[in-house]
Amino acid sequence: MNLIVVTAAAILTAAGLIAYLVQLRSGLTATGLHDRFTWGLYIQGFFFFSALAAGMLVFIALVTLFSASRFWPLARMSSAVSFSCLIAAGIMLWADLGKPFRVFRILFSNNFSSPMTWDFYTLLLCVLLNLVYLSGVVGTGLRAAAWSVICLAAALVFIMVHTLFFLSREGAGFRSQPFLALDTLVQSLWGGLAAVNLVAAVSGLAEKSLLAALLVFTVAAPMPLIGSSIAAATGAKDKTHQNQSKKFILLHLFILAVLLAVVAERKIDLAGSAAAAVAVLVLLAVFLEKAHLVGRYQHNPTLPLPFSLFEEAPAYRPTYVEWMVAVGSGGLCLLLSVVIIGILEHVR
Amino acid sequence: MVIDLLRCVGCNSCTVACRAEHGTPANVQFNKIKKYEIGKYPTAKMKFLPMPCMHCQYPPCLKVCPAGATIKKEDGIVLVDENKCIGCRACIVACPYESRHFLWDIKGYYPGNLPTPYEALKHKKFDRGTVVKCNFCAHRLEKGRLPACVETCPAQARYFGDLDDPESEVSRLIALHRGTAFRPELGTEPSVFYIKG
Amino acid sequence: MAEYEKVLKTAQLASPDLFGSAPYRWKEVDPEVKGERKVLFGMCRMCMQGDCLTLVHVEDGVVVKIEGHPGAPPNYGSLCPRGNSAVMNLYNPYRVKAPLLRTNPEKGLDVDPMWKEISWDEALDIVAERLKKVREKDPRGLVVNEGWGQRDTIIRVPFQKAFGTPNEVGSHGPLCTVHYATCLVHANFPVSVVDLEYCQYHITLGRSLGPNFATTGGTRKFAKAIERGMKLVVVDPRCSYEASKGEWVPIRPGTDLAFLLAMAHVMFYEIQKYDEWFLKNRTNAPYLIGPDGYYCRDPESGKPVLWDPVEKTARPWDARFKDIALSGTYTVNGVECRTAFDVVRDQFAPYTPEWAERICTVPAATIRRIAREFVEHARIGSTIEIDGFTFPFRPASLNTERNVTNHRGGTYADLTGKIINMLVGNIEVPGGCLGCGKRGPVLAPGPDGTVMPAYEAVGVPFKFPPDHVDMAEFYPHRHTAPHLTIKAILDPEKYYLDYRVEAWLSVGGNPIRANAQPDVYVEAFKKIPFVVSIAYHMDEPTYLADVVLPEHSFLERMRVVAFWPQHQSVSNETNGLQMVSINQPVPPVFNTRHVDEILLELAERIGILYGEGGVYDQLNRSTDFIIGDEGLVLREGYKLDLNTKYSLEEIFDRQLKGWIGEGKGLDYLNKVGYVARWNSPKTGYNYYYFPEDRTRHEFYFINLKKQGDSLRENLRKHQIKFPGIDDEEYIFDLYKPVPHWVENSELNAPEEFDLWAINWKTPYYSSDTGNVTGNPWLAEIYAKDPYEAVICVNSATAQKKGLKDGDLVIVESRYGKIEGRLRTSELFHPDAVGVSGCYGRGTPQSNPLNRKGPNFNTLLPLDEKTLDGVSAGQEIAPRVKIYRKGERR
Ligand SMILES: Nc1nc2c(c(=O)[nH]1)N[C@H]1C(S)=C(S)[C@@H](COP(=O)(O)OP(=O)(O)OC[C@H]3O[C@@H](n4cnc5c(=O)[nH]c(N)nc54)[C@H](O)[C@@H]3O)O[C@H]1N2
Ligand SMILES: Nc1nc2c(c(=O)[nH]1)N[C@H]1C(S)=C(S)[C@@H](COP(=O)(O)OP(=O)(O)OC[C@H]3O[C@@H](n4cnc5c(=O)[nH]c(N)nc54)[C@H](O)[C@@H]3O)O[C@H]1N2
Ligand code: SF4
Ligand code: SF4
Ligand code: SF4
Ligand code: SF4
Ligand code: SF4
Ligand SMILES: [Mo]
Repeated sequence: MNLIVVTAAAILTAAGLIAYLVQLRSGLTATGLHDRFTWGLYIQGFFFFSALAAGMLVFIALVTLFSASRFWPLARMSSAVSFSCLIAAGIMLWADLGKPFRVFRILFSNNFSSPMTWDFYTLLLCVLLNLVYLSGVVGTGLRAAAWSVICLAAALVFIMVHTLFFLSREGAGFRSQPFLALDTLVQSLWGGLAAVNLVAAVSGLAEKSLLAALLVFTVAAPMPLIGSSIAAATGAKDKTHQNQSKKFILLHLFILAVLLAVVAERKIDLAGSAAAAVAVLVLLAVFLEKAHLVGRYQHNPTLPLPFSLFEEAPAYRPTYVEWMVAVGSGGLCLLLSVVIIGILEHVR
Repeated sequence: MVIDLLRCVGCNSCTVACRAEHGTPANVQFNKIKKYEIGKYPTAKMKFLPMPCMHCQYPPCLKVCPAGATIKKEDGIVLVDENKCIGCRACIVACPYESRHFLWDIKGYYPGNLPTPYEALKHKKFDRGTVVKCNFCAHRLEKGRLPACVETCPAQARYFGDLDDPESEVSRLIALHRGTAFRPELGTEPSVFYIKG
Repeated sequence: MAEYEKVLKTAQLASPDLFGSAPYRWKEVDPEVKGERKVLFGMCRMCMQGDCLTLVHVEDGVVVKIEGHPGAPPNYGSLCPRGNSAVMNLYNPYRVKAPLLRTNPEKGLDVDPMWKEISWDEALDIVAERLKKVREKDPRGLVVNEGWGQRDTIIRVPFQKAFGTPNEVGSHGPLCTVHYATCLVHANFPVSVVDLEYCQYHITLGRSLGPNFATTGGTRKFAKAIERGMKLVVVDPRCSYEASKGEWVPIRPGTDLAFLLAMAHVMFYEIQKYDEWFLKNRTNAPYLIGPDGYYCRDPESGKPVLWDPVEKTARPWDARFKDIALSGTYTVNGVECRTAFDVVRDQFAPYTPEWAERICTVPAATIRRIAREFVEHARIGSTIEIDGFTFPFRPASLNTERNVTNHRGGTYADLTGKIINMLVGNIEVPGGCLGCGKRGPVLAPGPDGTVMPAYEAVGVPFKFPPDHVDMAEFYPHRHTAPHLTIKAILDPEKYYLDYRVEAWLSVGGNPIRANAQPDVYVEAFKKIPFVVSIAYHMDEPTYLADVVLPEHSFLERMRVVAFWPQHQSVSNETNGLQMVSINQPVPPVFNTRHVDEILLELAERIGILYGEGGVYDQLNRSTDFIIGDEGLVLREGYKLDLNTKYSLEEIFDRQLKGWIGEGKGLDYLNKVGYVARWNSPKTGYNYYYFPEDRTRHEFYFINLKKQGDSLRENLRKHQIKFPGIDDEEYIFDLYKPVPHWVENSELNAPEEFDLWAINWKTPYYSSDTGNVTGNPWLAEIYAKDPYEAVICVNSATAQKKGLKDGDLVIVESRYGKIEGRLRTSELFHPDAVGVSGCYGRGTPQSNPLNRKGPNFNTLLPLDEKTLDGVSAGQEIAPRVKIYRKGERR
């Protein structure tokens, strides 16, 4: 079973690598991006993976802090996945750069007013924290407490940074602040928890309690959206956003319904596979959320017409290169997860 | 910079002069003119809004630049250092005036034996994968010359000078005609002012 | 607009390399100049005016920047968008890069000529050979076709004269008949303009002051005038660039004559406040007119007479008068005569503003208001002192241009404009209406005491059978007439030609693209046995040529010229300026030659270079077309010896030495770039040379009548009629001494053609000089311009027709149809369909940009009945219908 997964993941990874090499040669013209829509699938993917990783870290930190030993095995595996997500996120960011080999300038030019700087720092920090955790040196007691506090902080900052990117952009409608911050937070915790559930499900550690937690966040997730779309409906100039927010709210409600059904189900083993399904559903929802957010902010010209340079915003379609790179890093994420978990078991 | 909207006739001479000065690759224009209509027939009019980079005093583009590639010189000019830019394009997302261009590719205008000798020479200083923008013709200012777009303007609608010096022509024009920035509500404090709009 | 992004792409994809030489290379810069940086003195030539001084920066033999020459007149460092894009004119892979010979006998705009590249020697020999034969048979068999593409040559005219053909045919005439009235009233050329230094109230009908096509000088003066608060009234079916800075008075296309007649009516019958002194002492308004419409003359001296109301007697115009009667009927030696003023005034009685409103849609009240404001602002009676000289001060002017004059009756419209101006006495005085050509004693009175008609008002003497292939004998005041030329070529008998056109030499003209009905022109070209083109790129006439002689682009051309007063307006930026300047050539990038070296070479090989009547002789005798002897002419002591060979440089040197003096010639100019002499600004007003009552302008246009009557006589004598015109009164109706209402060919079109198409020049095209329509820098900008290369219609009109912005529409006139994207706008008269610039057409081997966009001229008629019978001007605002593509109508 594992072997199949590993080879599949490896193939995807390889494909992604090739695609990236192509892009290196031809530059970012290999993507469907342009000055008008300058961030696409890569940044969407970056947001997605980071959200998951951070969400999971929060979970891990909490179970460590409150020494809920029952969850520790699951936490360890989650850490492996979180780590892999971070790597995938990093790759997405890297793939988006016009001058990838200058990426480490971010480290040393320390411009702390730049969200991306924070992003980069916190991303590295989270990677580090995961490694520390996996190495097992955290243990229990004060050391553990310290680690978890730092970890919580890092994860939360990492999450919140993503709400800063679009501050200067107009016309985000129901995505505009302050609801965006709330939304980002909830989404990331929701996604994280879903990932944990997924891990649990596939590793036979599925638990009603975990599902319950997911249920809570599934209820929470649409709240910011509902709030903000009300705000938009009353305040915003551009009404086109409303039915989009509706779409999302509906999606959430659907997931909620499914989840309720699952939780209502008695036999947990059945719930296990069902839980996996729901988890995947949630992950999808989170990705769509991120994708929409990035798109939304670039959709309207920054300048009101007629001043905008772009009367008709040319459409953005990710090219096959972009898709391959994205899927590739997903593959890598999977590969790493499986391998690391494998190692962990081996060490035990 | 001060732009006189009564004098400006929207001819785009500035746009072409800028291109000629910098030899920017195809489809990259540092300066742009917005042409639009106001009013209804028969009292309608054509309006023009020339837009170089606003060289904001609080430039969002600089705030978000993680690589320290965007810098603001003490004279207030906002520049991109093409040797530092990592091409993350955060600044493009951040700039509210659409003043920045990412060099997706460096194209000339003709096929086959591309590029023309002119392009071959000029394109040397453009680096694919970085962001470029209007630099207020810093290289000309050093030589004591005015920006290309200012010098070429047939309507003499563009004035250039030191905004910090209250005695300078630009400062006096702004004071006299109550010059305004474009979309001041954004709080970017542009260094480009419009008069007689 | 998105569409235009595509256009640019195609332009970038299509191989520029489909003709002539094997895949071209940009000529390697020779190693010696590596590391060398120099700045050349340049002169822009991206438009027909071509007078902006530039600095051309060259690095390693590559032109890296062209900018205005700081501080130097007339542009003082500024340039227009075309001028700024000049680099792309030099480095243009679509240029003709070597001499070419056609190997495919079949000609057509879509038939590959199958060029064979040949050496310069071969090419010149082949051409000389053929032209020699033509000349031996009948020199008139050669047509030399000039145009705005090549305004730098000084040899073309001497060449044509030495060759002995009268057939110099400009391709720029048919849509540009703007000269007659100015030539008659101001004895000046090309047009009359407003004095923006002082004018306070300017009415412009279909005439740009510069911004419309972004000309440097015009725009500079315009901006200053607006800044100082001059009131600007723009009568135009479209809210143009200048209209957006002043008062826009929308008018139905092609109906300006009605507006002008009504405005004059208001001044004659409602305001009745004239500059009487001016009319009595500086016009022929008080001349007594007999029943035959001619001057009533003094029996002894034969001079025209005026009435002295104090002495109650008629006296010759140059007698001393107690007073002069402007009005009244008097019996002079038995015949009853009336003052010209009364005769003119009567003519205008029927043209009430209400009458005009029905035709031109401008509200009667508006016409009245404008007339009133015009008279008030003219400050009749006021004077101004300039540099110790006292002028009448008339800070108001009304001016017109091609879109007013290019209709049947257009000459009348222009002349009516003159009458309106003369009523306030603003001719050739500060603030008023000035001829934009020569400054000097051009207003000298003739035997009748009035300004001698000049240039096109002189008239070509009649001869039968006609010498001129362009029918100058039938249209003696025509500007240039390629449209009649091709008709004569296609049907020589009908046009009474007793010889045949055997050869055609193109030197920068493009009658095919720039006029009407391109297909008819192509047919004519096919019929001409031998066509040569001195070419820059593969434009239509070049594509149809048998031999192509590639010339330098303007940056590669040695050019030395004297400054001409400018087109759009007058102001102290150039008033009193006399200047010579140089364009120092940059290294050529292809196997091309200087146009004049080509012509001199040909002349030598044909055998018309040396001796009596040869090119050198003609050059010795020629003077500057506009500024006469103040131009670069070969003055005494610098004339060429008729039998020694001179290089172009030597000729320039001699011209310059004569102009600058002190033995300073080409070397000197090479050092300084330009030599400017500033005369007092007062010399910029031709009133200065003939002040007070020393001359008189025609108010009653007797010379027009004379020309008409003699033409009628000649037709009778030879028992002939105007080719293509059955009822000759249709033309003679336009030769009356006083303008009156005539309908143009479009007014009563079948009502399915419910709209009028209009056209205008743009910042990216003022003419195709330098092939600006193929310049990718400009294309990149007009691609984003809302009004370029689209079909503009008033929003309400579009709505009525169920058309939406962006629709693909067909515009169809009775003469042709075009297709394009619809742009709905508030800036257009509801009856107008706007198509800008001169897009479309082009050839398979020209820059694809030349082929994009709607070609306005396809909509225009070629039929004689649609012309203005005096100027031979083509109708410019055809009736059209518009419908969505695919919907049959
Ligand atoms: N520097 C420089 N100067 C030039 C030139 C150049 O190439 N360079 N070209 C010269 C030449 S050849 C010429 S002919 C002149 C041309 O100069 P203009 O004739 O002034 O220029 P256009 O843009 O053709 O026309 C001016 C206006 O006429 C309007 N119009 C169109 N139809 C009608 C109508 O039926 N009635 C009225 N009232 N208006 C109408 C158009 O909307 C436009 O706004 O410029 C000359 N000046
Ligand atoms: N649609 C439309 N048509 C018009 C006008 C308009 O405004 N709109 N304007 C009208 C007026 S007012 C005029 S005066 C005429 C002018 O019409 P023309 O006198 O024919 O002048 P252009 O068409 O400007 O240029 C003539 C040809 O010369 C070519 N050429 C460009 N540069 C060079 C060069 O360096 N050397 C040589 N040998 N050829 C060169 C051009 O590509 C073009 O094919 O056009 C008239 N036609
Ligand atoms: S050059 Fe001057 S007049 Fe022309 S668009 Fe630019 S600012 Fe306006
Ligand atoms: S206009 Fe845009 S690019 Fe220019 S300084 Fe302001 S934010 Fe930066
Ligand atoms: S693209 Fe370059 S200039 Fe812009 S933010 Fe990124 S590093 Fe800075
Ligand atoms: S200042 Fe220089 S760089 Fe900026 S728009 Fe003007 S010409 Fe271009
Ligand atoms: S007006 Fe423009 S095109 Fe004409 S000469 Fe001047 S700069 Fe050149
Ligand atoms: Mo013209």
